Amino acid sequence: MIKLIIKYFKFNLSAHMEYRVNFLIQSIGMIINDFFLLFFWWVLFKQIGTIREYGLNEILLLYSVITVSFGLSMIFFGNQMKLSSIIYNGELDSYLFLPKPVLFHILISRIDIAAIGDFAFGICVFFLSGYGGIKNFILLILFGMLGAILFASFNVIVHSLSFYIGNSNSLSSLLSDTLMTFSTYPHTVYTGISKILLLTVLPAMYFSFIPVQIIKEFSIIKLIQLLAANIIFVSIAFFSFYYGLKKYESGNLITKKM
Amino acid sequence: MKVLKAKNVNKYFKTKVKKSGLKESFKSLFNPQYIDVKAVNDINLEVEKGEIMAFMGPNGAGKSTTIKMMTGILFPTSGEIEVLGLIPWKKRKELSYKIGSVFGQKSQMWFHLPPEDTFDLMADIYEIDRYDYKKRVKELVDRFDIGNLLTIPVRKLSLGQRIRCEIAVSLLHKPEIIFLDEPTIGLDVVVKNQIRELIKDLNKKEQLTVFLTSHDVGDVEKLCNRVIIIDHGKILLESTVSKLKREYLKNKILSLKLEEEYIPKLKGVEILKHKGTGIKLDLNTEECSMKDLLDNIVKNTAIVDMHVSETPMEEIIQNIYTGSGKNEKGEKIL
Amino acid sequence: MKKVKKYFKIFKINFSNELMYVINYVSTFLFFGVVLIVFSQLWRAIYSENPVIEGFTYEKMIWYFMYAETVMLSRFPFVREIADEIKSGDIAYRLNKPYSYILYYYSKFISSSILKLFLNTLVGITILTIAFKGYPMPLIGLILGFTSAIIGLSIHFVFHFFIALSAMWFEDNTAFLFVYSKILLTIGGLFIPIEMFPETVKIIANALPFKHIIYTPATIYINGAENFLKLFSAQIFTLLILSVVVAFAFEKSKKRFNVNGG
Repeated sequence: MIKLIIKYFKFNLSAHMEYRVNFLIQSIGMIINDFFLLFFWWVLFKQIGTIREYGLNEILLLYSVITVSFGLSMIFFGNQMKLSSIIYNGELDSYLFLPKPVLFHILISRIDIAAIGDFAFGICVFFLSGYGGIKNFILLILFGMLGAILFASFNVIVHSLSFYIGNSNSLSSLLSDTLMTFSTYPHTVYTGISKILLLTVLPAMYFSFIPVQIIKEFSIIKLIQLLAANIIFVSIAFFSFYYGLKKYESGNLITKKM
Repeated sequence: MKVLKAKNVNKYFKTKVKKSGLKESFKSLFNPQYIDVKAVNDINLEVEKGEIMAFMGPNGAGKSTTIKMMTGILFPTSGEIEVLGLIPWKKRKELSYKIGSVFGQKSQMWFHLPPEDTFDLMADIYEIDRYDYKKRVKELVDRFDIGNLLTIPVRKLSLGQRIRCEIAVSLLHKPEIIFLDEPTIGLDVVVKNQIRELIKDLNKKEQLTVFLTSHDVGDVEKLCNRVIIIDHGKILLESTVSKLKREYLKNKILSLKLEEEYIPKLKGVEILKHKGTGIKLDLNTEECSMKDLLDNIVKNTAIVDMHVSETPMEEIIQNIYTGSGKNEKGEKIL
Repeated sequence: MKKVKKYFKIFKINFSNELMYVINYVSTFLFFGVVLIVFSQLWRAIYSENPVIEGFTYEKMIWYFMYAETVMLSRFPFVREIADEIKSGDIAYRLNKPYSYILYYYSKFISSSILKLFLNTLVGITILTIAFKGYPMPLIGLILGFTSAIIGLSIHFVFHFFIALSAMWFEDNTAFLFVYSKILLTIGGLFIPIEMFPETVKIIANALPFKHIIYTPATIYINGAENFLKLFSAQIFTLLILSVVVAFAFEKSKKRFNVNGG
């Protein structure tokens, strides 16, 4: 399986290298894109000081965790955002035909090359945040991997909706964007219902906030929480996909294209 | 040995229906209407090892649905299917190592990369031993004559070149049966024959069973042993290709220009068209031999010009599609 | 009149088509609700120290944000479609039709956007009216804001059309779409009204046309008739200039399509 991932990585890279200019522009574009968000924070902090224990350094740390996780997720599981389209357009069939575990195969068969830009950005921002250091760096990479898996699991869950409600691409992307949206603001502002939401259905807490907390102050308990959340989401992801696949094989999708 | 068995297979789908217009759109929102579509209706078929089976039918006949059930992508509403001794939707992974497919419209090769990269990838996907893989690639490259194409990005290949590579890719893992969906569509006549020869060759050398969907009658005539025709989910015809030809070859169409106006009245001879000294007739050679007909005509007048043809296979199939199963005379042939 | 009639037909058909996609709308509303929650909590935290920032009270800020996000969410995607047509060469066939390519897509776009705008506004106002137990904004702001939003979305259409045209040179325009979105988010005045920008940034933001997509409609909405004419005319002017530019650019590109197509 590892060999397959490496093969796909190699081929995806080659295919993108065919369009070298485009590859560069996409990567640089992503970096500019990420930069704009930080710019907004800089402006805000300049005007109003800190926001509940979050200053510029904390935001930089938050962003580095997010972009490293997102980057890794989109590099290794690059097809996660296209899953609903793949299901809706019947492209699933070609994967069903091949002798490899369907979900995994779909996810790894595409590498989002631009995400390499995000990943690189995350690493740089990390060292600018004032939280840089060997110990923290190791934690960053660990959280990056966990976050990558969590993010992919979440996307698999929301994109599997395509099995049930036809082309769910806009809904699925929206839910995915929602997770991202919540993750990119200081978690200390969230109270009440939203906090509960972020600890459960929309795992922003596990995606970005708890990793930030652990880097600020190490805690075994929080680390275990993180691992548990990952395991839960991965399980739900597998379940929603394969349950939906059964429905697909019955051919009764409302908008199945023959 | 039977490699494929289908017994009493049925497949129903639910489809949403909606009438046009703004008002109907609103209605459909709150009260969506569904109808049941019977895509496959009591299909029974069997394929022996080493057969080249043609699977024909007009668009929407249920061909893709049937193939999807045979490859394990869909499961039937009722009935049994067994491919290479396995139930496709239950043992899909196991079966996938033994079957191959080429869909004329969908490519399994990476568009921006050369075919050899897809070969490489497939070797991993099908877990082919490195040594076997190298041997097999060389074999296929030689047989398909694609050696000079291996390093050219697929997007730069012509359709014929691409199809040759596609079929080669599908055979990499030495499948026992391959499903070809319109493999010769869009190809020129020379390349078509090339592909047909390749398939025939493999069929002979490796006992490869071929399940071929095609709208091209030439494929059926020149390549296949048997043919199944389906429409509206039902099997209309199941026959060997030679039997099909024989059934129709017994009828000959003669267009004659005679010296004098004359209409032969013989059993087995049907007048199709008649204008002055020109006459077109359909001869059933089982009821009246060519010799008898010509003798009869020559006794009464002289033949100025004559043209003899058989009912083209195309027309045969068309008659079957249009739901008659009868020849142009209206006689039931099957 | 016949010429214009066809675009109304396109408008009507697209409207009807859109209704099929209830899920799309429901999900937009949910996302809207979510974003409102996130931002009201963020601003509450910020306002806990300062009661008024640059003339905005907490309430006013949230209403501003609500309308800004309404417009943001009313955008209808079409870049992919056009980009694909350009890349595949299909666009050459489209140009042979008896209608303007740009106007065709504009009709499609604006019909869906207006529907979304209307529904989003309804949802946003409902949520906030319940949360704040009242509607403190000037009522005329509703009509003026809506009109301004339509102009704003039209300006957005032009920018997205430019991005679509970039498909002539670039295989993938995702990065451009992302960066453009971020520009709207930041300099366009979605997250923070331009009033709150530091001086240099404020000057830049005011000079750029992006503010007319989000900031201007939202400002008109919360201020009503006050300053309306000034802001609105600036918007219309921007739209006119951009329309001319895009029409010109498209004419020039047409030659290129005919070479590549087929």
